[in-house]
Amino acid sequence: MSPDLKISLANVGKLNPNSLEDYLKVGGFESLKKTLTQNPDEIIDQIQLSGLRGRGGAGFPSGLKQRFTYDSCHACPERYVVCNADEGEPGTYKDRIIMENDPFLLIEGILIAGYSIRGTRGFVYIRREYYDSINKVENAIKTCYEKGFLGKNILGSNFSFELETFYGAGSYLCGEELTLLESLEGKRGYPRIKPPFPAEVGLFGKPTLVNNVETFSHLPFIVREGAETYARLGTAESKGTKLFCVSGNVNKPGTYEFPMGITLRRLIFDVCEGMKEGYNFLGALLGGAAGTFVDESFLDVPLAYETLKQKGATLGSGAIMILDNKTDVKAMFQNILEFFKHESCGKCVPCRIGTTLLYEKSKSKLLESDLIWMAQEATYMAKNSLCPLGQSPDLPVKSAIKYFKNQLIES
Amino acid sequence: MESEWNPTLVENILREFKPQRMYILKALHRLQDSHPQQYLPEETLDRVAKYFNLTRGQVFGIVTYYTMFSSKPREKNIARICKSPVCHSKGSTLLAEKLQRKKEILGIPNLVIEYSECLGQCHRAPVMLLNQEIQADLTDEKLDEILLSLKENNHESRP
Repeated sequence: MSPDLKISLANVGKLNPNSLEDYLKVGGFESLKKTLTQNPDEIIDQIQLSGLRGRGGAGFPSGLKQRFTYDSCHACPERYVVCNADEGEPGTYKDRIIMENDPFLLIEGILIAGYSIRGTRGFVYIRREYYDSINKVENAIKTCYEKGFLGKNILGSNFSFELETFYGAGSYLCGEELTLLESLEGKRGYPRIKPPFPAEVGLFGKPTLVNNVETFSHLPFIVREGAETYARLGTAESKGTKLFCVSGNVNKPGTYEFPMGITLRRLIFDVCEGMKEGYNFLGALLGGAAGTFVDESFLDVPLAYETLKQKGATLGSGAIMILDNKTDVKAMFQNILEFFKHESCGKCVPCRIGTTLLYEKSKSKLLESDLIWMAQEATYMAKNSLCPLGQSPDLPVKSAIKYFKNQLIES
Repeated sequence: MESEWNPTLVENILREFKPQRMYILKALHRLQDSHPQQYLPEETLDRVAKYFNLTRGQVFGIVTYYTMFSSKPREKNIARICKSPVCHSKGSTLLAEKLQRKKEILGIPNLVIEYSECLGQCHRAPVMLLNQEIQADLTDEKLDEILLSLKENNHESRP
């Protein structure tokens, strides 16, 4: 298989994203047609075999999630598919690229997932700041209805499926799956207590499959090429390709697709053509604000869920913010803590107070004892907060202290 | 300033949506976009509450939760400057202050400057969302150009 193989970005730049004809010409919707001839359980088996894991950040096995969603209630007349397109993790810009360039691929992926769980309705929740994504996806949905790819008896089969878009309104927290469901129901974005998981009690209490845009974009490939082909890509526990969003002072920042396991060194010095003149590599923030700081000792670690986890880091959404010799690490640290403070919904005490305390502390001149206190506070928050937001500062706080203690104390 | 609201317009927009609570965010966006001052007056929220069969408190709770909604009058043009780590380390906070000063010097009345979290354009940082369009790779000069074109457009749109 070619090392340049693309799955999510296969058609980017090669077709008019507003044209269904263009999409059909590159083999679009062939996977859906194949899906419709198969038993839904076979599709779930294929996804499980492929080893695909959720691309939103948590990395949960996708096939298993689909199985849970169906198995949680066989008798339920309605099951929903929710596409999480509320891409808000700082430094992440991958779902936007798919939606703006290949919206039909996303719809095909949603339809395959919908069919596999015997779903009836789908919802694409897009952040409102993504005007272009909204336009492209809405146009694609409209065209699909006109041409029989959505609605009643899709392509003459027994499968019927409705799909519509919804918008966020500037809340990072609504990218968390249960909070997103609350927002979809037309409420304030307050998180729900987990469990129950959306697969059991999701949107309006119905079994619901919630996946990220990038995850859905892989389903047509898996159905078309087979689970084994997909599973040959990547590492032992992280199969397939991944979108990496590189930003900072490299020569060619951008979103790139590579099989899991590519190293930071290759991404920065080969793919992105090295650091800009006058800038030296210092480290990176992997996975966004809710991610981990790493130093140059990570340059040759394969970027995959298990390999990063072994070293105490995280891949998260695939955001890679490069730090250089001129980066003010303390200012970035403070910026991240201000972000969490701003985005905390205030529902639970550990997060509401903890995010404020951490931010206020980060503004002062930091001593070693302050860093110890901050790490303790972050641990307390991680243990006691209701949702992933309050649990998040733990990662950047501790990794920043571990790798960039001097920068935090000096300034 | 008196809150101008247009009851017929509000009714027409609301009727585009099924009277189910899940459509409230979409409806609020449409209503706010339709208002020349980019906000949701109290009278509008009352109508929204009735339409979706909610209390005023529930609707107000939604409007105040989400950053993109405003219950106070703003301006016709909204510049949302990204302050997430990448844009921030490329000087977006400084740019925001400059934009504010330039706005005053050039006398552009109908522009409001806000901050936004990550706009997902990190390869072109620093960026801002001006109304519905991304302005990327911002520099001093680029801010001047943008402000001047806003100023020209204002004159043109005046009768």
